[in-house]
Amino acid sequence: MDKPDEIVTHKVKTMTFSDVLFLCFMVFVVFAVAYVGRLAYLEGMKTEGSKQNGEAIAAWLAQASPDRYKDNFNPTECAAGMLPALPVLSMAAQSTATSAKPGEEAAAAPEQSAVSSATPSAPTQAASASAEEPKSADSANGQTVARNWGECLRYLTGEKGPWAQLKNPFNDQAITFIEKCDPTNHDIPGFIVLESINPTPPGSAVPSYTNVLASSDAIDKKMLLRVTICDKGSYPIPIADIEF
Amino acid sequence: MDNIDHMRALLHGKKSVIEEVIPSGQGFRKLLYDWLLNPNYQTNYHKEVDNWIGLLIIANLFAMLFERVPQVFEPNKELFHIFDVFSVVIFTIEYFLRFYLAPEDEEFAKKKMPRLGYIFSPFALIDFFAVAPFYLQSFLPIDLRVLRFLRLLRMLKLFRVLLPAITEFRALNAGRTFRQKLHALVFNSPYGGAMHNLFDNFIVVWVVISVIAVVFESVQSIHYILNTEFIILDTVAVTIFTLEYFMRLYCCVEEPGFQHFLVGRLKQAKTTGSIIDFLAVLPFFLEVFLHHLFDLRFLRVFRLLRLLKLTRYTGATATLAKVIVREWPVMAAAGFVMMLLVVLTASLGYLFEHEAQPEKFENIPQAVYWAVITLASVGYGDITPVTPVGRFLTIILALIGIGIFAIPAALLSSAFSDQLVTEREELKDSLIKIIGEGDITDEKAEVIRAEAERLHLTEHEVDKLLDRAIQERDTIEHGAKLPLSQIAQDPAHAVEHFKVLVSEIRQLTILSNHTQFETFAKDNDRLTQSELALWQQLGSTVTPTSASTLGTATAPAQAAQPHSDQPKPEGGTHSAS
Repeated sequence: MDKPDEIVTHKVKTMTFSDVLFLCFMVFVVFAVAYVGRLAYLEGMKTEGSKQNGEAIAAWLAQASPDRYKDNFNPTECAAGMLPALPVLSMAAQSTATSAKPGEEAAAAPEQSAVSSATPSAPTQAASASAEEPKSADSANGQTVARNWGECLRYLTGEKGPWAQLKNPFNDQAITFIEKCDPTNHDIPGFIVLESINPTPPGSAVPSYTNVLASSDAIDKKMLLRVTICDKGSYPIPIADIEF
Repeated sequence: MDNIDHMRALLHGKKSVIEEVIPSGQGFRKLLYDWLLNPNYQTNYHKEVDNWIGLLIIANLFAMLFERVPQVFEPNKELFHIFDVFSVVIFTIEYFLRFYLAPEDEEFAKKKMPRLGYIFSPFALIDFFAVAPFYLQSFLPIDLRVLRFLRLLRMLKLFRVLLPAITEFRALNAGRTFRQKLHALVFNSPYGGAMHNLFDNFIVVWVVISVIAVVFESVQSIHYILNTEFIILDTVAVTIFTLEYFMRLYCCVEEPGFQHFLVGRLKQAKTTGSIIDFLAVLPFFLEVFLHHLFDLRFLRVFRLLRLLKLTRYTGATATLAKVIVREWPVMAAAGFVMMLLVVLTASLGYLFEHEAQPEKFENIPQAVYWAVITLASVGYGDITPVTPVGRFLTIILALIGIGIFAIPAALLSSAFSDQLVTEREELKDSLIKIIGEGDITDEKAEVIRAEAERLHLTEHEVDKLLDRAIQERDTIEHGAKLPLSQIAQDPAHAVEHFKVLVSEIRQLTILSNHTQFETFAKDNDRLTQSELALWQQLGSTVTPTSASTLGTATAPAQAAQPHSDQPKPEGGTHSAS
């Protein structure tokens, strides 16, 4: 492109009113985008807060892992030892088909979960998990049952538990455990998914599969757990895999 | 230096001819300055030095940003340190090089003590402060944060590139309105100069950074660590792109065809480039305000559209668009045939396979997937016909598919090649025009270089193109000659033509070394006896009188040998100069 031959020498008003208006608009645009960026940043910080919740959970589980097989491990609810079985429990375990008394069904149900069904109307708070769990030991019949996850979780999220102070930054409420992160559900950002990782039989196409940790799941043996949080878009963000 | 060689040198803009461009026979210091730092030479290395230093400064900026991320910095401390040392070494070499060469610099050469003048010049002070903290920490305990802040001073080195561009831009736009200046900065115009190039580069760099960020955001481990950094980066990128968008919209009225204050801007907003610019920033706002309506992952990937902004700076997509527009009718016809075939294939597949595999060939729309995969020769194998008729049909379809599906690809390929040939011809025409003008300016050379780069021409190809242009120019200049068959039809014309030919042979006899000519002709049997006799006869008949009939071209030759009626038998070289 050729350079123009004409050189403007006469005095021209270089800045017009519309130019000033445009400059003001540009300043406004900068502030507007910065404001929107700040909103995005704050939302990002909420995700960061959720990640910190997940990291705190993972850290506690990892820290407790080697000690919980020792005697006098505190909290006892999360210890790996066996509990003497309640009569009702042993009965239910022996015969689920026989006439169960009201109130015992829940205790015997194998898939009673400590997690919610991921529906906003009924989010099961960890703190309110399964009231049907064994509350006292009766050594009369000499049988034992493994401690379960529901009992441990109830302690951990309880008033004196180490996770009591953890809040979901997205709704400023206590942390909630759900089955899975679902991008179609916009009410679960910041929720936590706790899964157990189980090895598949030899020869399988995948080395392992995951299960949502149910409150009735026994915690007497070593288990591999995966902590995941749901981000702003309800997509899962894996935090850590821990041996517990 | 020969004019064509000079053109060649300018067109290449390369250092292979540097010694031809830079005057030889000067001292080492002067040569080194001209070679590396002198901005008055277009074909030396000064631009490369500036560009590489600029890149190193930007890399330093990123290193400083990543140093603030413990997850990145802690495991790679050693690498960060090595990079820092490397940068300081380069910057120190640059500082001392400029210090050594200061007496050759026009700016300091006039001073009594040029090197002292250099030391206290603003750029030298910036260069000094860019490296000083590194050496200072060896002697004094400096807080790490202070050190990092001091290292930010390296950014100021960019002013070495920026300030001359600003000065040039101000000179080019003296007396122009703010909007015109903005137009010169944003749009391609003769007023833009280096500042416009810097603006383009700035946008390109941010597009690349932004796209890399989007790509790395999809890597879970990286996104986990740098989540907030990505948000900040995106905000900065969107701010820049939004400002650019509005700048283009505001000053587009300076563009020919966009002058009306409202219609022109609407027209600009409807251009492909503007739509791409708009889509590049849209996901950022949608993500913040309407994230509950959209899938966030989709919006994040949607930001990759920013890559399309680069189409403004490359001609390849424009060529492809031209090709598609040109071949559209044929491609549409091929598309129609393909569609017909797909529907027919899917229907037949459904007809023959539905009963055997109702779950796979449930209906015709489901069978379309199988049809396309088969016709396109992809053959995933997840759906396969099991009936004999179905398999026979698949054989036929696969054979037809190879031909039909290849048509659009072949069309595009051929048309793209044609388009490139056309554009190369246009480039050649430009070269012929430039050669016809006798000389080439730096600006024209730059345009040709850019065009050659766009057409992916190598130096060798540019040379060949230049040679062809020279040949064609010569042919055009001497193209007034009629074909021999036409000349032969007219005796008068034929006689005149014969005289011209004889005259040319006589010129040759005067200008050639007879001994060498005859020796070569005899030794290699290049001429017959009669041809040699004719040569000797014509050569021996060159007299001042006859030579005068050769026209003006022989006059200088004659003047060079005013007393020679005949060429010397021993044949000294008869220079026509």
